Amino acid sequence: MKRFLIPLAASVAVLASVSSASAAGRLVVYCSALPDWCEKAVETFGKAHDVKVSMTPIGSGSGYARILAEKDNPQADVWYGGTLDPHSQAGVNGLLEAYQSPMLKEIAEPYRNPATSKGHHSAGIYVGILGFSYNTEVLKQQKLTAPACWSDLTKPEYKGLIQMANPESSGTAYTALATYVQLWGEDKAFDYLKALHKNIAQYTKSGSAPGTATARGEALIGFGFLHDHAKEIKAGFPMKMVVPCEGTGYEIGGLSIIKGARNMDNAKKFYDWALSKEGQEVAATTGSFQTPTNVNAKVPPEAIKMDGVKLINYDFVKYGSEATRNKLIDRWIKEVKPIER
Amino acid sequence: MIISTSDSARTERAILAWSLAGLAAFAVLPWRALDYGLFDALPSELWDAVGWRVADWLPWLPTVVLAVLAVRPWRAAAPALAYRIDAALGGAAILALLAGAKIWGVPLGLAAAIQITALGAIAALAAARLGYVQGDGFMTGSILLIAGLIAAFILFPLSTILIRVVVDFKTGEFTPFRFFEIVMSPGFGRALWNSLVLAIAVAVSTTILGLVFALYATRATARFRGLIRIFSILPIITPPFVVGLALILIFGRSGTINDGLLALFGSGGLLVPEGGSGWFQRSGYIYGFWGIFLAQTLAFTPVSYLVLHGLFGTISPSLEEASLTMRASDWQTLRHVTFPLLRPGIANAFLLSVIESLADFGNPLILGGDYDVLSTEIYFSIVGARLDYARAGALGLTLLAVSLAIFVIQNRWIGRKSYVTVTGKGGGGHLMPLPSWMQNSCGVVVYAWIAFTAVLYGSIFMGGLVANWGADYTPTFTHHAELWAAGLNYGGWPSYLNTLKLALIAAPLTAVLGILIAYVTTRKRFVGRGLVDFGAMLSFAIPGTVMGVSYILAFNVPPIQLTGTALILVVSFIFRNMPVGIRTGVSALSQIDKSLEEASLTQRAGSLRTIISVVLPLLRPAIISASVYSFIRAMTAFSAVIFLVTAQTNVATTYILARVERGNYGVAVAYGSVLILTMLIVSMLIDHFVGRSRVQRRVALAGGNA
Repeated sequence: MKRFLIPLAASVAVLASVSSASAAGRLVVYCSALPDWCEKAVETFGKAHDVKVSMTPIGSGSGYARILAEKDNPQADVWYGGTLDPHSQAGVNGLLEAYQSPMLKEIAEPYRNPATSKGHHSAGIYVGILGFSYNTEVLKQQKLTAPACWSDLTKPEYKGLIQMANPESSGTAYTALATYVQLWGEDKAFDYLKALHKNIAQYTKSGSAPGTATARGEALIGFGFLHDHAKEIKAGFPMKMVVPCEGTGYEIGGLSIIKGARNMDNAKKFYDWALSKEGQEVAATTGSFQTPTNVNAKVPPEAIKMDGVKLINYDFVKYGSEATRNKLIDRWIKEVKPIER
Repeated sequence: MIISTSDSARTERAILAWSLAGLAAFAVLPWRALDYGLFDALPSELWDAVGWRVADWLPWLPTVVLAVLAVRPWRAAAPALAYRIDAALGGAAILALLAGAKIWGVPLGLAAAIQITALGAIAALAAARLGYVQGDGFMTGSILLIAGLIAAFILFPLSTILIRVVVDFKTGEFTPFRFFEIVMSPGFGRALWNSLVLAIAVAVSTTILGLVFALYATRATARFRGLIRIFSILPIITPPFVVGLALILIFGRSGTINDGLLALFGSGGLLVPEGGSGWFQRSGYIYGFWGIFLAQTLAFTPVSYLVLHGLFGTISPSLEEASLTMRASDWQTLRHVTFPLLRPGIANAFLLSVIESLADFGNPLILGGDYDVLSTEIYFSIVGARLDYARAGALGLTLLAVSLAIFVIQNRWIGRKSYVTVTGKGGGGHLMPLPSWMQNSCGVVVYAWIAFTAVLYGSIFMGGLVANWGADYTPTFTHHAELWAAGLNYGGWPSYLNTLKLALIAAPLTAVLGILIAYVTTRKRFVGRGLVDFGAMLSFAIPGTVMGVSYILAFNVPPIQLTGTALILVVSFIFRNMPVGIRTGVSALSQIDKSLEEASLTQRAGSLRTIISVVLPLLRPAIISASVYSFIRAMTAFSAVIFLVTAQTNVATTYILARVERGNYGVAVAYGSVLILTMLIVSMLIDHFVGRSRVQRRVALAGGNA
């Protein structure tokens, strides 16, 4: 009776293969930070709390999309890292659990409840500053002057030497777009983008690509979050970071618990840990140099010092909303992208 | 309808066995799908998922039906009535179970799958007794299985895309005009136009190159045939975007050509006067239309070569000889006899290339620059800043409609117009050699191609062995060490072994399913054939990105909940590569005379027996080559899996892509070169095998014609 033996054998094999797994529960993390960081974080947390953590590295956009798709049957418990906007969207759309962690008292005030919903759906775990970097060797080779402001970048001498991501596909580029609108008003911002467009060599798909291209000398100037660029500099590439003189926008790294999480207790434990000094200092050990939001956490020496930086008062509520986002991106696609250059 | 008692007794025993199997599954196996996958579950989770422990009445529904079927209280009734009850009960239980799981949100697990199979098998056995498919139980079961699989894994996922476009996800409102809004939105028309322009340009160039290759390989000197063969299969075993990556190494901003030109003409270059600023600056010309065009031409020329090469083999030399005997010149013969015979093949190769180019996702992704095409737009609608499933759905439906239309043209209009000139009368004679000017110019193209491909593949292998291509050419093993020396749980090993495992599981299943579909659709007449035909045709035309999107939409919620598991990858491999199996099966079956099976069937061998002892031995080479090809396609699969992988189920191609995105070209090409080597070895080993079996097939063909 072969047909009975097969399922029987299968069940025995299944039971045997799982006997090794045992821990004080589980936790599933969707991680939108860099993969090294994600791995280190879940490993550290898992060991400290004896929790079997499985982690999926996923871009912040895809993370939101997946959590939305899984709304009726959440697969993950915590969403860790990645830019705040998609966290905000998820909070507004009722995908996240409100949680006021006791650790919030150690977090700098603006980052305790930054998301659009204002309902403690997300907290900020780090701050990353938007800016650009230039490759010092290419600069020397081409005998050009170093740019210091956003307005410098529209000079004709940089034609074909600048890389920026495409706001259609990259949250980083959208942050830049929203920053200009908040700095100068919408029409002036689009005038700037049109002028900048003439100098752009290529709009990359991912937000971190311009930084790596600049490090490798494929571009002179690359836009991005400067903590990504700090990593390249640390790796020895001839690159210098610029915080633009007009002031600039920034991103907040989000942390949220997913509504209906299967492992709610462990999710809260992880949330508290990620806000703690220990939790936030993990990032720098893996070469991610954002500025931590926990006031007690050590700021890595490679990170941008916040004192010299002119930050705009970034309106995460307005510019994180879907309506504004679609309006600005559509306008960019209509007015800027088709221009010949 | 003749129902003999011994057959009835056999059917009854089989029904009993199937119902007991279903009951046993209920007793010991997890009935509910496990939240963390079958192989990663804790014992307590497994125990809680077993049928009778699930706090829900749904598991009892099929179980009670199976228990009743095991007893068969109506067994004393007239056979026709009794079998009608069996079939109706089995079918109804399956539908009720799926509907219940959908409505109450219960994800179905292993035991439920076994129970559905058991109910289906019972229904099929009973239906066969009632005369369906000439009373053939095995064939009825197979047809039911095929129809069920096609419905579940092709039609159902595609329907979810459609629903996502016409129903608002958040509010549940019916939005019939959403599709048109999206189609009219900025960027859509451009992406469609770009896709079509690119596809046609690529198809023209691959068809011409394929023709040149085929002419040269069949009609010119035999000296380099082996070399041509290797270079024509290389792009097939290469993951789709690795060719693009090699193009970046050569033509990219800090690629070899730019570096060379910069050293000569750049600022401070060799040929620039002292103190001059130079005339050349790094250029990103490869990113955009020409880059994708070049990469796709490289990747798809072998496809059109294989199509045309196969056709050349079917042209009987006697026609050409007749023309030559009547004093036509070589060129006149080629122009007026050979090319007209090739015309359908040329159209075929052209349309296949169009479909391949439309579906390609990897090359536009890494080489596209600002050149948006439909496949990348679908991806970025979901992962980008827009997060818009409706847009992805609308783009996907458009892409599917275009490639389906082209496929229908190719299949219905050209596929039928075959000018095959092989007949039973032995076609003796010699193939006409090419006119010498033509042979020479073909030779130039072929060798230029081979040289170019050699440079590209050289850069892939070398790129993994130097510190930083474009900046620092110090030889080093650090990239390979990072991938392969950090232990089996780190670096490249987990994704490599995972890909290997999943591809090995999927390949034979793909081949068997494809060939079974081919057998059923070419050899059998039955109710519901339209559905099987249509599903099979969809599987030919469906682009990978569309499949990926539809799978995450469809299999994330009960009844079939697969996202995040390795199973969804295997399933996607099977249904994405099924056309390979179908195609191989159809062509192999067309060479086997039906009378062989009829002889077996008349001697009262069941169809299972006939298939095992008559059809399978003749099909063995087809099964092997379909398995190998599915294996290779699964190893290099990219466009669908990118939507489906997780950290635990990462595969080689997505690992490489992640490295490309981080600018880590060294590690990416190091991994790529290992992958290419793996598949080169596998396919050469098997080619050895199948090369031998091909002779057997030719023998079988001759036998069939005689």
